[in-house]
Amino acid sequence: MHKLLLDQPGKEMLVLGNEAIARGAVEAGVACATTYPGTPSSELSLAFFQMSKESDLYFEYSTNEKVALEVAAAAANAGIRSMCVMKHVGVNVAADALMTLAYIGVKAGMVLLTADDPFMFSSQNEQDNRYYGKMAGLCVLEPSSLPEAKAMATYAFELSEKLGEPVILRTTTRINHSTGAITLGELVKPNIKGSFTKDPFNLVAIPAVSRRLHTRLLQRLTEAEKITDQSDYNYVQGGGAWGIVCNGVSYNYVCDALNDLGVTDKVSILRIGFSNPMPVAKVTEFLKGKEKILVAEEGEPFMEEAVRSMAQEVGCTIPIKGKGPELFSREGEFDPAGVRKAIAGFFGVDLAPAAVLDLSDVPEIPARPPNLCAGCTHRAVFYEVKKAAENMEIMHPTDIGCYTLGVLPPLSSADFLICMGSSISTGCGFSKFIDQKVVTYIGDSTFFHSGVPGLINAVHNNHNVTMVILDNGTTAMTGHQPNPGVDRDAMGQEGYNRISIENVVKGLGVESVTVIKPYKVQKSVDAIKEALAYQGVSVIIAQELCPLYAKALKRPVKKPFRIDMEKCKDHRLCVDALGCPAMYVENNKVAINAEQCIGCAVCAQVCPEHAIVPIRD
Amino acid sequence: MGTATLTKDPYNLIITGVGGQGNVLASRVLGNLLSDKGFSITIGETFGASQRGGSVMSHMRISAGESWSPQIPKGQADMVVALEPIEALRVLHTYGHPGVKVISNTRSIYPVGVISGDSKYPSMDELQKTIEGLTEQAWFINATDAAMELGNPIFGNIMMVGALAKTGVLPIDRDGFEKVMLRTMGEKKTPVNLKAFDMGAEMIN
Repeated sequence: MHKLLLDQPGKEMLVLGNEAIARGAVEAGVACATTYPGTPSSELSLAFFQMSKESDLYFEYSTNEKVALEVAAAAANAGIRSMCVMKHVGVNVAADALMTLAYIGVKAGMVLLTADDPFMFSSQNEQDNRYYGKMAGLCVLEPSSLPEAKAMATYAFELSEKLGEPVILRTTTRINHSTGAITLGELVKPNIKGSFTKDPFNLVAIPAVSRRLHTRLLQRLTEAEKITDQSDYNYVQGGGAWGIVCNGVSYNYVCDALNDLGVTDKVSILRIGFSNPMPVAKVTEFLKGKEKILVAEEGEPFMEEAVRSMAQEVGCTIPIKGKGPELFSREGEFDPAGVRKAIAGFFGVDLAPAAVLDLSDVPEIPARPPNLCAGCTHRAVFYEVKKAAENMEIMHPTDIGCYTLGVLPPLSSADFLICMGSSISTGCGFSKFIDQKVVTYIGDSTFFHSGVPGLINAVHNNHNVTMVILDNGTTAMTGHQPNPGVDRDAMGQEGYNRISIENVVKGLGVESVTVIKPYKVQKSVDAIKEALAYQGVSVIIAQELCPLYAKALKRPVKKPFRIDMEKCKDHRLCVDALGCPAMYVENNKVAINAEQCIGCAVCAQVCPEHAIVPIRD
Repeated sequence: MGTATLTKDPYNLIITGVGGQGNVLASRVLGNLLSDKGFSITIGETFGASQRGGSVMSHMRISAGESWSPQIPKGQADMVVALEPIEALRVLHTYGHPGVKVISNTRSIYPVGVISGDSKYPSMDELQKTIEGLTEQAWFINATDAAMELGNPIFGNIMMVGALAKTGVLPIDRDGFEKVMLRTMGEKKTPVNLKAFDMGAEMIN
């Protein structure tokens, strides 16, 4: 049985933050969960996916976040408790639905989990999604610990039903990806049978209806203002005349710092866990008798501005600071030592200098950026496109996925990127106005997510662009989730229909469609040359399983390769053109690490001396 | 809670390596083992893009009292377990202090810049001397080669756990390890992991 389905109330368990949230939702009786995978939320969806196989939970990997939110919204409007999971930027995709869903509301509890990523460990921006709560008029909950993440995941459903509105549960990477102990609570039997009563003049968002629904949303927000002021998730700790307002993971850094500095008795903390709407009465009460207030929050000055405005309202003029040169940055994530320094500086506490290492004699440490894996199919395609375009000037709008790593030399195959799906649409724009040939890259999952409308645009407006679809048969970057093009029978999952990318592309009217097998270098180069020469929209579909995924599927293993030193003339084309992590230079000679080599044979085809050969037993 | 005590509270442990080396599993095993002994454990991890051959790091805070935040403050690691030697040095740079200890695997994995010849990877000799100079105590073990004897370099992570146990800096014992293995890996996979644990322990003098 899945560990998160254990019916053992009181049992302690060490889990990942994402698993704590999944358990909290299960304890609330969640019956529908939808997602588009995105780090740092991916393991939460994985937990739901696994549990759905052994319980009544309905789970789906939806095509994109907007679709996921709409599926969950429908479930919640049919009386089914639903949860929709995504990373912070996914909410941008879902925002169109979210803003008006707030008007329509829900019948059963619905929770939107947004996993924000301060410092951008694996994201293209570090936007602060608390503002979505403000913009949509929805409640936002933010846990500081794993037990609280679990508790909030349960409570969010109750709150949602109380207000008739979806609730946003906002986490950051340090909550999603931290591990700690939780205590299991009672399981409830989920309601899995939905029903729908027709009520178009409350459920169809036409102007006349929406005007009324907007009024209702604002009334619900007023109700939420009362609840947030009563909420135990907004609490005061300690009793000193110095005040710190903090939220989420920052709360932990603040507590650690106060302990380290020995000033716990001098400081009162107002921990905000219910951050939209902010608790006006609690904040104004907290301001009373304080000398000064520091607001410790990662990201934007969301609470800081609210606290300052509440202070202004009651004529409180004490210093209220948060973001600033000597205090906290709007960039990146907090470093606990930095939080300690900011607190010490703001309140004038002596900070004992730490004993530091003398690093003067330390050799330079080579950077280790993430790299495409040994034998990655994308590397082969990047090489082949370059080879095919040797006499052309090309530029590459790219997209979100492992292949974004092609930005690094020696592949250098990414020139422009905004967000999911932007490769082909920006390719349309570039191709209209620049001289270079535009060749765009997109993965299979991203193609389904938001690449299709861009391709339709390219075809309809007759842009001169080549779209390379890197179809490695999985959603690799986030941990091998399925997508609509994946062969789910191979994953041992029945009841799904597989959508052929080739048929989609042809169905959209693309006349030049080429399918290549990227491990066959010369054949691929020739085919790509033709596609590049085509005037108009051409699509190249590169089909080969992600090597990591192939390994997980237990596909046959190929023999690793070695360098035949008698033949090697040290051109180094293999190393210089491919940058495969299985290769290295030792004693000025190229060598292959047999533990890493997966036998894709791409380097062997690149070598002009045929000096790279399989290892024979 | 048992009679086990910590030499420092919270004890700050960093496990570092290269994406794919089994960092996360090692931290999970240690976390479960120490949690079984009644300690409050918080592990902070960042996975995602870094899985693709980038540097990875798990921060573990072990306390007999309440849970600590999921990030070790800069300059405050007590022990660094490195599955790759240059990663030990990288972590020491940011999280080291004169009292820090290190256990490092000696098998290098070259970053892409080194492979292409754009940057230099120091010799193992130089690395070892540098790390010894920066730490209170340092152990170097060839866990990868030993793991290859067991048929897969991935066992290197469990060898490092065994090595860590042998240093005695934390209350980690073989029985506790076995218990966690049986619970999380099942009976079939436990013996080989126990073997890896023992081999790791044997490499610490």
